[in-house]
Amino acid sequence: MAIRISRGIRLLKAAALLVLTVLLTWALSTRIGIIPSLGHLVNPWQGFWQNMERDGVQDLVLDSEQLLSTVTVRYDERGVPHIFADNDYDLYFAQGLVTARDRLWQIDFQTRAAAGRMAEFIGPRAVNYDRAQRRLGMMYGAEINAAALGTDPRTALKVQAYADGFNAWLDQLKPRHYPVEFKIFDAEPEPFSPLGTALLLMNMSQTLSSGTRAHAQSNARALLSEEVYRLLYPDELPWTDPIIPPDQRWNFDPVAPATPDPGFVPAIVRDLPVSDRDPAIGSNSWAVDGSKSATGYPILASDPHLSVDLPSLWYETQLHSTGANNHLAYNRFLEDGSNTPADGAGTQSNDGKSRANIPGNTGFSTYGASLPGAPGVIIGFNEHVAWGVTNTGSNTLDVFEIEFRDEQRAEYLHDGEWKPVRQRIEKISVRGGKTVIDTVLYTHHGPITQPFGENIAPDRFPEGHALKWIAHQPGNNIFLAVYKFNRARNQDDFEKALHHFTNLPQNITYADRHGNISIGHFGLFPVRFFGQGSYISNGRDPAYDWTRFVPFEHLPRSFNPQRGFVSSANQAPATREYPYYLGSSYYGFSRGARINRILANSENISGNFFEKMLMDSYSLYAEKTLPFLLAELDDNIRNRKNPDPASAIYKMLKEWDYKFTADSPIALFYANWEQRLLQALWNPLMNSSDRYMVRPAATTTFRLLLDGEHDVIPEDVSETIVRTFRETVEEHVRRHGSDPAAWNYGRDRTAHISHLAMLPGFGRDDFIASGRSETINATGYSHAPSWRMVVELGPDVHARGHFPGGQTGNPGHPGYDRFVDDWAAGTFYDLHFWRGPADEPDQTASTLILKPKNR
Amino acid sequence: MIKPAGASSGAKNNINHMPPIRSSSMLFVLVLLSVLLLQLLFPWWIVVVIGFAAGLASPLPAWKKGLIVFSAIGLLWLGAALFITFTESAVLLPRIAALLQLPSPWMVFAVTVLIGAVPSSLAAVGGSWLVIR
Repeated sequence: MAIRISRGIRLLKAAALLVLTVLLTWALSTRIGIIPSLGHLVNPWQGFWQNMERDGVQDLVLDSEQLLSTVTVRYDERGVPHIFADNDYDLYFAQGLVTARDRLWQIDFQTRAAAGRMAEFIGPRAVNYDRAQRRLGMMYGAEINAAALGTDPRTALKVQAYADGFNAWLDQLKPRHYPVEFKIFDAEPEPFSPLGTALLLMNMSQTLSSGTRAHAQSNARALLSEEVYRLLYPDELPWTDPIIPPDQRWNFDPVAPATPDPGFVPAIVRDLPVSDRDPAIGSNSWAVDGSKSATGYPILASDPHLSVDLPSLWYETQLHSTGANNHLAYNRFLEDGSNTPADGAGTQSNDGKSRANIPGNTGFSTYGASLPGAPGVIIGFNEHVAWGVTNTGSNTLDVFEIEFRDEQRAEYLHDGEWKPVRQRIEKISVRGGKTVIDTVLYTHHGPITQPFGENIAPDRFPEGHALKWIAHQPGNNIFLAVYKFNRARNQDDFEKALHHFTNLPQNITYADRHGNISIGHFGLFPVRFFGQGSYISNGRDPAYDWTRFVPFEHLPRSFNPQRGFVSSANQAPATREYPYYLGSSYYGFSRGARINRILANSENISGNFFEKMLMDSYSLYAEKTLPFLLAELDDNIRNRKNPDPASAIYKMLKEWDYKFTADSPIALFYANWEQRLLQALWNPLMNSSDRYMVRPAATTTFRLLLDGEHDVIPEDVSETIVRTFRETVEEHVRRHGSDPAAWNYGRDRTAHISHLAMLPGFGRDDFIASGRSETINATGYSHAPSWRMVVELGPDVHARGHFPGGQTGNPGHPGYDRFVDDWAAGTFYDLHFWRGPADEPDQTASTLILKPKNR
Repeated sequence: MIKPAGASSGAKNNINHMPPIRSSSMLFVLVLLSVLLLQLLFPWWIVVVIGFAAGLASPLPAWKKGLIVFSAIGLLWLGAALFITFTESAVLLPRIAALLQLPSPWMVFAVTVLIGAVPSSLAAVGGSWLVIR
């Protein structure tokens, strides 16, 4: 009996312990909330340990049935793949494969984020994010763009080849070698498709062209008197030196805009918090011709400022094809029945099988920054031409007030008729939850982004309004522009390419070895009446519809201008003399005027000079504003006897050279003071009602201050300047100590590079860099120059560049963030532009050989 | 299930002709080898199954089996982690430490060892309690 009892107890103990063990094992095998599945993550056979890689790129030979010929990929010492192929298919197949090799997780994650599929990764917390993405029409737009990609054999082949290469890499990849982020999120990579490329285009469009201040401006116009409104929100920002030189004449008959019903006053939009785009999202690009360069040939610089993350936004690569087997590749592609163009919503279905557009067996070679997920080189050069881009502030997204017939919202009023509302059903899979189904209403303008009676993305758009967004416009194939940029040999070729640069409007700088430079404002811009799109549009009135676009020949452009240089820094493209209205929401003068001032006053310019210019941290804005501010302080500070922090700071500001250099002791003080002052001057007015408004531009504010037009500012200007100075002194001393000698802009401002999914420890919290959003080196807190490139054209092209990250996206590889410090310090790398697979053989660090396999 | 041949005939999980693993070092080596082999084919929790099997298979005292399983799996995981650290780059360790909110990169090794060794040695003890000797 006793034995039985003890045996029973023993079994009970065993059972309890085993249940505990099973529970523990289960817990360690499951992602709980944000805590990863630790058993999977830390075991040395499958977990993160398998992602630890030694430096360099491993030599590798792979074969694939899909390849036509052997492709040689030579990695240089920085891990840049130089791809040598003999036809377009193999070339882009290899680009997809090498990009997947380095950036698999990034492409997968960004594609899902763009599509509004984060909830399947993260769980129920991400449902609102996903709904907002779907309601912005991200998937809708991707389908339209994927269809357009399919209408030309060149782009259809290149996106398919890229996806095939990506998938070939994924297919041979063992799960233990999946990028570590998949292990952390306990997720699986999925195959890539041309739709993914279209989604990444939408992702770029969301960053660059989805901004609008229409509702804020409508509110401000309604709240303020006409006169005050014009002063606070002028159509042109002060001191702007436009992209196109002001002496440009416009010798054409412009298309006349429609005339709207003058009685329309949009309803007031409430309950939206004050938010504004980050002023550090911007870009510079400029070029000089031979008259200003030391070489006698053009030199071009480009540096897009975007969110800087790890893995990096950009992926450097060289694409080289002899083209010898292009006909074979295109014939095979077009004969394969599975390559029928996708049929997207609202797309005119051109014949994707058209043989008219098959390229010949000619070669090309291009180098530059590519976007992971997109074939081709986006910003770069070849031996003949170089090109750079900056974003435009022209109106690219209009917000329409919609009048529905009734609460059913099945019909809306347009042009005097009740028209049917279309519905698009969005299914959102949720990790650990039920699939969410969202019905999005579409008018002919576009989607109703903010649903009725709920707030899913409160900082973006007003309830029940429809969006018209250039990224949704059917029939545009920007990848054909990129295809042609990469192969352009001269101005004519480039011009043809620019015709396709439609659905992501940009300023594009161009230079070639023949001595030409040019700049222009490219994209589809609706023919607008004055102010159209800058305020809430009337969804009933067809005058607001985008029916006609500014003809290509009428776009603001400048060829080989007399002054010998072209430049852009997100400022207004042209003066108001330009016959079309494009928008009013451009960037302030500071960067653009600084670039032009330097270029106008410099001769014998070298590539090295451009590198220094890209790192220039001189603020024209500070030069303009600080003397005025200090004059206001004078009586209060200057005559003080006792040395105190305030007078020490005053003295330092007086002596400051307006440079936001990393080692400046005083630059951060100025930045904080200026910000505090702008808030103090405007917040009382901005917060005076629950109407959503954006405070006047900083440059507009100072234009008013400098010209003595203080009456329109509700606060006492002098008192506010003195008060905010004292407050900033107090805060600065509290935060950074009372010893000004120890202050340091680069260190104290704590600029950071985040991981794309914000994983702690996977970004860089400690980089020290000069610059501010209004200086050419526009390094902000999380946005910064994301790819700096200088190209010296001539008989032999030479280029230098860098970006804040590394080629590999693997946080377990030493190359992951290798370029960050050089980037921050302004050290540029030689970009090896190899003429062929055997050029500079000693520079090859490793190789990847892709071989065709017999079917 | 593996069970000493000469044990009580009342047990149901009797597989005849299996020699008992009476030696500690023999058990240690067997656990080590089976983990090494099966780890390549199965998810991480195969170590828990192996620990459980070791508990059933050997007539050694429960605490001893627990200790053997703990040290075999712990050492193997530690060894593999160290090998990778010294042959590859270690830049991921501080990142994982920050992700898991560990104060030092070296703690990542401790966490790795514990996650492999603790559940499997508990399974070994539980397994031996199941077997009546």
